[in-house]
Amino acid sequence: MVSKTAEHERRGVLTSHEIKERLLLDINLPSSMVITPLLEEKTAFDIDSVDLRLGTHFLFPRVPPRAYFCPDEDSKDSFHMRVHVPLGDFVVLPPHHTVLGATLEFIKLLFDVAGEILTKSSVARTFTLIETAPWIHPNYRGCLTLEIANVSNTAMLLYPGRRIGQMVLMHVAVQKSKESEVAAILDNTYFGPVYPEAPPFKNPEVDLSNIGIPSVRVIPKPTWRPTIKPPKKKKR
Amino acid sequence: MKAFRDIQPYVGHLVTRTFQGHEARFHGGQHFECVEAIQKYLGWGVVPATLVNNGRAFYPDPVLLINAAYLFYLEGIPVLINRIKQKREERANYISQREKWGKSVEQWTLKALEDLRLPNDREFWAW
Repeated sequence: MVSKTAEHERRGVLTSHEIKERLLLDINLPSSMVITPLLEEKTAFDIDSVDLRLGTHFLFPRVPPRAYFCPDEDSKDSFHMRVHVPLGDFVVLPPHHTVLGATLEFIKLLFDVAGEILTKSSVARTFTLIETAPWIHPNYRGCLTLEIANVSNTAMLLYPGRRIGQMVLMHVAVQKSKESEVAAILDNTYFGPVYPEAPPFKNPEVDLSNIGIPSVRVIPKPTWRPTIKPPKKKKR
Repeated sequence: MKAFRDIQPYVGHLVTRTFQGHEARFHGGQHFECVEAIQKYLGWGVVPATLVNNGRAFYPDPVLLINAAYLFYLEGIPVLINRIKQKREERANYISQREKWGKSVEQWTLKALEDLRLPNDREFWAW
């Protein structure tokens, strides 16, 4: 018996030739792909991957206002500090520290292609890892957020613009009858970021109520109240 | 608009005097096509730094890019919003959606302008 997906000849990892072909398709076509800027184009491609570079924006972790960090609706801007490092300068990543960065390249994937970003082997051998959530979904567009970890015992200098990762793309067997439907859906989660993005969360009680947990213990948030009363206006 | 039209000749004179013929001008023709292409890219939520036309990749002129992006900001955001999967409550609040995606358009344009400063051997569209 032939499966429905067998009608597709497209399988496996995309070759550099296929990627280059799709990069030159009109943007209106669902099978078009974008990688911009594509610097040093001749050496950027391997037969089954494309090199990506480190971008110029970073999110450093900062000490949260409370003694703990709870991923919830209010947490998005409390855990990170945004830093811009122009091309030509560097950022210092202390030993055993992590920073969020992004690729210099803006990517638009196809509706029938998923991808994975991997640390370049030369970078990994300096005990620097760039990804713990490496999967890129079909139709994704944006600069890829990188969780850059220095797992060595030495501070590491990171230069924006240098090659840091490689992206491997794989075909997703979408049923032909559903191609146009899948191509038309653009998910708005992490849609089109050009900087590293802090993750948005729902409150834990909302997430857990979805799976039938009625009661969730949360630490009440301190509400700010002035402890000193403002001076009364003197009557003239 | 009346005030703008009143000062327009003076602004034009100052621009001509300052740039002495080197100022960017809109020439129609290929410039129109480039503006349309930039808007198409923004309409799909893509940074318009590398534009493909008839199987060839080009860079947009930065001045055209800024103007086309602003035109898209004024007229094209509904095209983008309609292509993005949204929850019912998000659809209901059109103003906040417009504000949100307006900011994204601004970021994509700035990213394209940053990328245009990088050295590359591609041709400029309508150069």
